[in-house]
Amino acid sequence: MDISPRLVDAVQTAQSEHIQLRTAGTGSKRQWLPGSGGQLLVTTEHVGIVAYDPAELVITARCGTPVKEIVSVLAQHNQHLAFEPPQFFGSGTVGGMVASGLSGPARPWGGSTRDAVLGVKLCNGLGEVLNFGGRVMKNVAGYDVSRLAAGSWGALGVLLEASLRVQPMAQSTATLSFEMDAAAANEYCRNLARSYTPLNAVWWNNNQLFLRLSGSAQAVEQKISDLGGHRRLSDQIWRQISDHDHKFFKATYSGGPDRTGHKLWRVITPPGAPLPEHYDVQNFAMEWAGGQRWWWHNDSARVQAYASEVGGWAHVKGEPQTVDETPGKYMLAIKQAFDPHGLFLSPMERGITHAD
Amino acid sequence: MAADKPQAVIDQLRTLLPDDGLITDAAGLKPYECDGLTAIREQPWVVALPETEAQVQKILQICHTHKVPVVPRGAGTGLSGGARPMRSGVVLGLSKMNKILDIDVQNCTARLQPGVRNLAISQAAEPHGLYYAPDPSSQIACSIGGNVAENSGGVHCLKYGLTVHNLRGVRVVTIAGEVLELGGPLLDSPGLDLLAVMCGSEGMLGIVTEVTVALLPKPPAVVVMLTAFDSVNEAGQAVADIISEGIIPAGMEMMDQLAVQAAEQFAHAGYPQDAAAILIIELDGAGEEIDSLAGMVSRIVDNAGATSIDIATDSSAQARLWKGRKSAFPAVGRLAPDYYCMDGTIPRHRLSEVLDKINQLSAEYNLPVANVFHAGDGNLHPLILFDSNVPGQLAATEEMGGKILELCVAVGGTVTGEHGVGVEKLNQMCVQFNSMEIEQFQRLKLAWDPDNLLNPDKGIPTLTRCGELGGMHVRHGELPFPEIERF
Repeated sequence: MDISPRLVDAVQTAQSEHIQLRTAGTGSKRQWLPGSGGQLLVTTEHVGIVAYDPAELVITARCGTPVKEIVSVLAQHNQHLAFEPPQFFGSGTVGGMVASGLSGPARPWGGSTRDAVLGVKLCNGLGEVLNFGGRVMKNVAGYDVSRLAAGSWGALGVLLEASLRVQPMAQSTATLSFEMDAAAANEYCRNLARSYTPLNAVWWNNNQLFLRLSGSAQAVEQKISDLGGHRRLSDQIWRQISDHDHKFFKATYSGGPDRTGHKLWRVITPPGAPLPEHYDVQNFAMEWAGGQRWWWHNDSARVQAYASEVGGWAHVKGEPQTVDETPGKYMLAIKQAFDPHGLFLSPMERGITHAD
Repeated sequence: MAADKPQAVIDQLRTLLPDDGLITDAAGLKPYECDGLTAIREQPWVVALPETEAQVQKILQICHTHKVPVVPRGAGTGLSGGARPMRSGVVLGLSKMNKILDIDVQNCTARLQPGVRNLAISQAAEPHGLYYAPDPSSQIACSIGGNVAENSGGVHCLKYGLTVHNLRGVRVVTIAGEVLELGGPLLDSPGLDLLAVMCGSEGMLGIVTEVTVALLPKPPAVVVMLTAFDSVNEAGQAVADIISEGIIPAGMEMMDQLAVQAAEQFAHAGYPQDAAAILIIELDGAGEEIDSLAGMVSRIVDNAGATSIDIATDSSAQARLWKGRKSAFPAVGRLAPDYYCMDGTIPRHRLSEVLDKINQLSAEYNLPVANVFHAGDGNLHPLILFDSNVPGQLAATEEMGGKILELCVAVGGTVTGEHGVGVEKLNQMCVQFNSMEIEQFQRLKLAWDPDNLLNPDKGIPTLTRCGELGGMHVRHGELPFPEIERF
């Protein structure tokens, strides 16, 4: 159902009545970054796949369309979203998927959410419905607003519709596991990354390394025999990691470490960055071939120091990412360009250091 | 209003830069009059050639203070006039900043100054078994800074993506002289994705002074297939069938008969000159999978009606097949004194309809057209042949080219897939975007550059310009190509 007139009307009303809005779908990403304040503008009724032609490798859907519906329609044609979007609680909408820009375990190989965005229809803070990008793979007409919208957490406007690049599913997938400490796993992943390997996910935690191979049957079988390891019967672990349903992501679980006073940090590092000097193997995890590390810790300063030492950055899950003053200034100027009256409350903006 | 060509700017630039870093004489300025779009020229006021980021910063601060427009320039190979200078402006050439700073084997990235040539990246990575995937046809000459500005593609971008997909980070200097470090050898960055909007911004938001790109392991096995068809339709069907079977070739290029004949006479690649269309398909992968992949694709193209299929497995035969395609532009250039290269992208299933329409326009304007097509991703390069010495032919060509781009928009595509808007496609931007969208682009630009000094006359048209064109594009309230179904 197309409810865009109602959504646009809500924006125009908010503008004339000086009300602030907070756009939301199902709220499935609250645990990742909660919004607050403003009047809720819910998009979940704005649903439907507007266009999908498997041979064109593009799908266009309204923002309230459930991600799982997209995933299932694509699967009927042996296609998928290569960035493996998280579907927390099995819910989540296309609008939330693009606005959060979160990518799953396949990110280093399948690209990010932003990489797959080809076009958006968005209602800006002036209540104008604008189209950027389109439904074609290559498009350099005008600034790339579509990809800027990915990860904008609703700061620029209401994403009414998105067109996404889709990919054929691999013929064959296999999950392998190895007993390995973190340093060995890091080195092992470096070597794999440098060689041509049908690798498309990596997870290390508690001295276990998991790899997912994905490609043609011949290439995957060959690699399994080259690498050895223990072949898992199920690929379920990747869904659990993507959706933070894996026990590592839970504050408490049976037999788990005491995490009293700990926060879950997400540390983005160069993939080959060295490990922290001290860490608890149960409280530390790596994915994205080492480029995304998770660390339960009770000392913020320690985590921050590690991130900056290795040339990365860190934030707590559930809290906004901190942005430095200079890039922050340009981000706020861009926000202002789309939303001159500051109608849209975005949780992302809380992380931007204000120059004043 | 600032003074035109203030002497203070020259004086300050002279203090800042070494003698060979500042060009002000007519002879020296000559090579900077145009980029790869040679039909549109202007003599710049001065050319500044910095060697360091600090110099870039200073140059921008000087120009910002005196409100002098700045036109950035990489290798000058752009095809849309994005580096066309301004009479009262400074050309900021980045050709001297051409060092490869680091090949980081640990993280599979390369850190580069903006003037590094595209091909030089892969050459430097080669000893490590790595390469940089985006490969525009001009890769021998074009620079990575220009690639970022244009979000360049190439024949392998169907599988490996455009510049934006292979870019990890940039350092950017804004017109105010502020340095932003965006991304790095990292897979995510905090806040709004400024890297995404910087890529393809045609030098209108900031000057890139350092680029970090991803390097990929070279595929161990490659096969290149040359297939011929009796009709463009059948070739188009073959492309759709291959993709529908779940195969993403590393490259998939189509050429029509005129382009094939020109390329064959030029490069002697062994193309069948009687074919209505050829399809060059490159497949890559692991050694153990490549044969069955090639077998599958052979069956698919055979079913689609291919009249011949040649498979090249050794690298010299592969290079020969690619040579014809990669030299298609100069080859077509030999058929007429001038050619005009278009760059629309269309949804692939509209191909035959678009080519029919292009043929009609070709007959109507009496100007031959050769078509070269990145078939996998729908990016069409019609090359219009003309003679600029014949009065009126350049204007007729530009008008016809404009209509081809409007046609691309009408079928749900875009006026530029990879060459950029520059000065060339400003009019067609008025067709693709409405006034609210254009104003949104302008506000985005002013967020970075409030005085509109960075490449100010490129990329985004003014509403006045679009208004003046209104009469040309919309006659009696009808849109161009009213018979075509719209999205």
